[in-house]
Amino acid sequence: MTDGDRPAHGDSKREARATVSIVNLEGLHARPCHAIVSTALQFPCTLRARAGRHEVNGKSILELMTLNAGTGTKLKFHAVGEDADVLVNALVDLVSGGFGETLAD
Amino acid sequence: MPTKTDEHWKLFKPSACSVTLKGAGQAAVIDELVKNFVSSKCLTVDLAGAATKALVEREELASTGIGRRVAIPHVQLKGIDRAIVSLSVHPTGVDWKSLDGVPVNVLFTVLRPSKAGDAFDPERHLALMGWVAEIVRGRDFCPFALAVTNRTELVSLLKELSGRS
Repeated sequence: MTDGDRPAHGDSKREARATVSIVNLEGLHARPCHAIVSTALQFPCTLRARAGRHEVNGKSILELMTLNAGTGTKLKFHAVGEDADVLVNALVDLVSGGFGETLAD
Repeated sequence: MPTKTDEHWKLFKPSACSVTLKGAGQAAVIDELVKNFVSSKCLTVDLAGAATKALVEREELASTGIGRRVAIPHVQLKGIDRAIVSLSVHPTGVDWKSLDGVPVNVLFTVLRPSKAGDAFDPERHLALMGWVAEIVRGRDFCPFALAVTNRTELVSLLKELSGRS
């Protein structure tokens, strides 16, 4: 299991970034996307998610699904706003835990 | 399984699809979706019960409603060696407990094998789901899907939208 790089902070907790590898066997399919979004919607801050050169709104299941992010893909999160660091930490835990699914070898 | 993004529409057999879903709730709609797979001979009747159970349990885990009036019920199913898919329209809409709270009119249903094999690659499955997401994000998709009058037109719509994505 790979733990992500923990958030780099801006001047305050109002901005946070982190990079974390996808470790579950099936990658970022619909259920993990739903898990990311339902976590993110609990926070007022904005969230962007990037895989490679493709960046999307991290609060949209549809947009996250277009990342086609399989096992081993490095996901980058960038949150801006209140409790951005709390959100990003939660997402790192979610992704590095494999979304509770079967992990890749 | 198609490898090119613009060929995913070829997986959709018109006889498995529907433009006339009527179920009043999730369970009834899931029943219709599975019956259509069986009647189109995409799914053998002995697997219908397992497919229905898996789809219901998947929705209990977390709604597959992804917003924009679309749901993507999708599960692993033992006993199949390739992905079985359909596109279906519920003209009046059904509550799918989507995150956005909006009823669903269009459903992409995917039954996938529980193991990788000659006819199924998990990475291509991810690509299929990514393709579905791109199709759904298009402004034209839901209005056009609701306007379609038969199943063949529904699959033709996917073909046309694939060429644009």
